[in-house]
Amino acid sequence: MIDTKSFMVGAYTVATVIYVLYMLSLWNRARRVSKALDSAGARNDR
Amino acid sequence: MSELRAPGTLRAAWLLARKDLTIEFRTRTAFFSAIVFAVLALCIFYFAWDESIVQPSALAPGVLWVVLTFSALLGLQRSFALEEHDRGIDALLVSPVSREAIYLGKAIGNLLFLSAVQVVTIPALAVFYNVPMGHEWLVVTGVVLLAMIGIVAVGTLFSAMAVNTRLAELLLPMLSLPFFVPVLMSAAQISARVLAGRPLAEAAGYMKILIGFDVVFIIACTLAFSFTLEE
Amino acid sequence: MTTVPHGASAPKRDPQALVAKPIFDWFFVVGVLAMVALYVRSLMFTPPDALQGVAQKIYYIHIPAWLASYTAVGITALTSIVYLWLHDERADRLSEASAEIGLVFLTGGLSTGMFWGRVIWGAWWVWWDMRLTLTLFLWFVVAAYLVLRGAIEDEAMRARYSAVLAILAALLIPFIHLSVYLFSAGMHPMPIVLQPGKAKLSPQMLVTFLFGFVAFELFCVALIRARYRYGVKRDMLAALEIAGDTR
Repeated sequence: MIDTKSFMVGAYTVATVIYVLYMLSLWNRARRVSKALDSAGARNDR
Repeated sequence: MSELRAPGTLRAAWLLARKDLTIEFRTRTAFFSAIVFAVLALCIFYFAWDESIVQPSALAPGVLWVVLTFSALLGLQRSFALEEHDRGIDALLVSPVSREAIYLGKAIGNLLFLSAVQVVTIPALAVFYNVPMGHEWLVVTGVVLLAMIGIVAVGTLFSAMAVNTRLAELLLPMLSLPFFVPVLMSAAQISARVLAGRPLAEAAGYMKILIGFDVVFIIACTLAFSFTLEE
Repeated sequence: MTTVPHGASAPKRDPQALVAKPIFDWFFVVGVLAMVALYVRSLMFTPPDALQGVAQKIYYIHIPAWLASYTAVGITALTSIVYLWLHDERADRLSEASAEIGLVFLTGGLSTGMFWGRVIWGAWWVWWDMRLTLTLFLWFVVAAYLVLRGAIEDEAMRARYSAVLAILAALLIPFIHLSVYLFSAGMHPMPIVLQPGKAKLSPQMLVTFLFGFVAFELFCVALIRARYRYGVKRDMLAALEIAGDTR
């Protein structure tokens, strides 16, 4: 009999990692584009 | 005067297909390399299994479809790359032929190219894998033809799309292979059954999928093609 | 999150109110909190299944992930049709956003499913399970869609090509479904270790389950919304850069 609990924990962990990694990637991209947009806006205002 | 009239869709398509095949026939490089690739792949796949466990003739259907898929991708790749070279596609677009005709012409050209490759590859397969040549090969040939129609219908459209992207060579297989799945799965299942001596009726469901795919995607891709050209 | 103080400075373009809005707002927080609540409820306050044991708890994050991915992929297909019809860049941006989120949930669904399959079927992967195989190919199609988008510079062309691909993919799915169905029905027995179909849900489990659907849908919409707003900002930035270059 396999240890079903570890598989359950594994599934929850993997799912969490996927969603968290995606959110981090989106957050990172959002940060970069916002920063670039700010500086581009400042340049255009001048 | 009638010679100056713009040709009808099918006639224009045939003219375009003939143009592509004429270009191909002058050099024969693509044709030759596709055949060498296909036969070479056949030979290499022979060594991927243990001959004492699996009979070579049992492998033959699987190898046939793998090799057919990849030689099809080779042929499709150059279909529109040919036009990119001197922006020949622009000349096609200003010529008085409909876009449907351009697509159909390219598809017919690809189909004939691929068929010519198979004319050499399939007998080579039968010889190298010791598959007995019987009347079941008539059915297999029919299945190969149906599968090639489906593959070319989708592949021609994606070839037109892929040449305009940055990843041209890499993108075509990525776009087309998922679309080949139902075709290859059905065709491989039918041919494996037929070559194993089972009745064709057993694979009737797969046959319906194959024919349905061809009909749906010939229509859909012909309509979709005009969206892939610059407006 | 920084906000952009202008909109007026964007040259010769309609000031887009969305550009000024933050990418992660209250709605996003609600989506994440719903997911956290689902984890807490399913892991701590829901009894394990009598037949499948704790492995059944994978259901709570597995099946709702399917629903979320189908929602996202469905939005991609619909907005692609809308794009080819109206040529509205918003439809294109929405289909881009939802395709990316769809891929995330497909990945989540596939990987949690593999853990469940390892327990119940005794194998990480089985080809005779229709949903598994179908979803794998859907994953490949969505991945191809995103790669295609990444490979085209021209905006209008990218939108047209990807819309064509999405619509063809919508036609493809029934064919893959049929062929996988025939493949799995004709050839293999179902070697099931336990009988997952007979699991009865207690009221408590049912509530967790339904809450899972709600949480995942909320999270899915929140992600699509955030990704869409990111798209707006990115496109605005590209437009500003082009305007800056030509001046």
